[in-house]
Amino acid sequence: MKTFFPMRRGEARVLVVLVAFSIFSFLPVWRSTEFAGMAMFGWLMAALMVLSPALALYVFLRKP
Amino acid sequence: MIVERVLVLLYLVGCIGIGILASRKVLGSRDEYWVAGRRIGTFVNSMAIMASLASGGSIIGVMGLAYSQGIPATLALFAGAVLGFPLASLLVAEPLRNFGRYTITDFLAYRYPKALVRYLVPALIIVAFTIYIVAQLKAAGITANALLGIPYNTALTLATVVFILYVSIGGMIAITWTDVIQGLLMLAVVVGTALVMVWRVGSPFELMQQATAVAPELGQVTHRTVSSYMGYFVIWATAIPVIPHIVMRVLTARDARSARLSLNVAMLAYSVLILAACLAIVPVGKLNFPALADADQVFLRVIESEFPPVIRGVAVAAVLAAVMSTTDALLLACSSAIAHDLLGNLLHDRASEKTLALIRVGSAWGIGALALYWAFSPPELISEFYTAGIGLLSASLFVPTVAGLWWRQANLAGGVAALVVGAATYILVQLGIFGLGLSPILVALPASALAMVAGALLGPPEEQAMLEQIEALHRAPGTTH
Repeated sequence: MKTFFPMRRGEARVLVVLVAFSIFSFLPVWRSTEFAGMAMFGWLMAALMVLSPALALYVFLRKP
Repeated sequence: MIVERVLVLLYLVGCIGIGILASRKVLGSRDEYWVAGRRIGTFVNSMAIMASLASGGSIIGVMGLAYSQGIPATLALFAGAVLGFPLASLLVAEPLRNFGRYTITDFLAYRYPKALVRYLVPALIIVAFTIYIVAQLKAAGITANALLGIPYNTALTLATVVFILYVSIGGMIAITWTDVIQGLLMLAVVVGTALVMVWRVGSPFELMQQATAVAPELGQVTHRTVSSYMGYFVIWATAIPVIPHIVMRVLTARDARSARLSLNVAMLAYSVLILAACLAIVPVGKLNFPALADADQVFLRVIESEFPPVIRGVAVAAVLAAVMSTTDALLLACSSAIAHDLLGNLLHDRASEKTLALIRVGSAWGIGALALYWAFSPPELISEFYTAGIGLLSASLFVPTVAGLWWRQANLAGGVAALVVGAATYILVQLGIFGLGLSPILVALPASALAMVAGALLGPPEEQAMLEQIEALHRAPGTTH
């Protein structure tokens, strides 16, 4: 018997990417590196805010 | 302030009107009252979800926080909530929508059939959400006082009576339609203001560079510890999939696919709102008003200095809309914990539909009145309390819910242990009784997960019939894995 109930492959990938991106964003190096006057940590958080729902939408819209 | 007051008055009358119209449909039916008949479409649900999340904190608070503590820290706090919605759409939206009941308690009490679960979960929800409602009411009172010159207690009472009225008689349908209007109003005001600011300079990067040249701290990571940043991020990312007012939105969707789409469309809109506020309005505020004593005034000062009275009136209505759109959803979720989860299940076989309807309306007025009474003299750190309240829900409900939906070894012993250990650990660390120098959620969630595993290993395995029922929840009609 499998340990987990099955998740669609594309959705599992999105889940892994989102968790990995979040961990990556919290790496200490991004707090001291700057772009356009703001720490990269801030830009990564902004990117996460747009990318995470956009990625999920892409997967849900691709396959009914 | 005549123009502002008239516009706000018109807005409040409109909300009551929607409540009265909705009441004709909802008062005689639990399905209509709690989940709007489960037929809300994707766009309407998206706007309603966005408005439910975007509280007073998302307009006044987010800009005040960015002004005083820097934009990166602020985005870290709000990015957790945004991430929570894709997580909700991936982990819980489809099975919970297919489950087809009314509340998160319904699912947990079904998955872990024990009286402790049936009563502890709504009790936690009532405590956490009452604090959350008081925080929102305080924001409404302060906002109306500052913007319209109405005394704090009068503004508080007026706003509270209006939203209790439309929630108690109009249920989820009234909340949905008022939230759609409130969401569009918020987006129009904040994004419209941001576009004007960016258009004058040329690009948001240019605006950011100008502001950080004058005030470098705006773009730096300062003030808070890493554990604190991460703690807030994790609280909201893990709370969203299980907090009742968001779960109820999933249950109002016409099907699982629509629920998943609306959660993510809502977050795109919410992200646009937060990024417009932080990356366009706050830099202008910092450039034009570099030494505000009260950072929460930054949005209002920008609006006052840049726009005529009519726009200012619309902005005031937008701020009140932000407060009310969250508070009404919280009030409905909180009254569902009393009227449906607690009293409804006790009285179900013995009470008529009319009695249940009276209990629903009475619960909304009871919770609303209690919150109003408390909001007349709220604690100073109420915002900290409500984040702690949401953390408590996340610490206790996230692991049992997600494991109960996805892990075949999750059993009754593990579910109950995860619920109790998560809640107890969070409270103990929050009160400082023990801790590892980490944010409470970063201790409580692993403790809850360990308790789930220990319960699964030590307790009897889950019955096959239950596993088959959970597996069926993952299969939307007409789809295959």
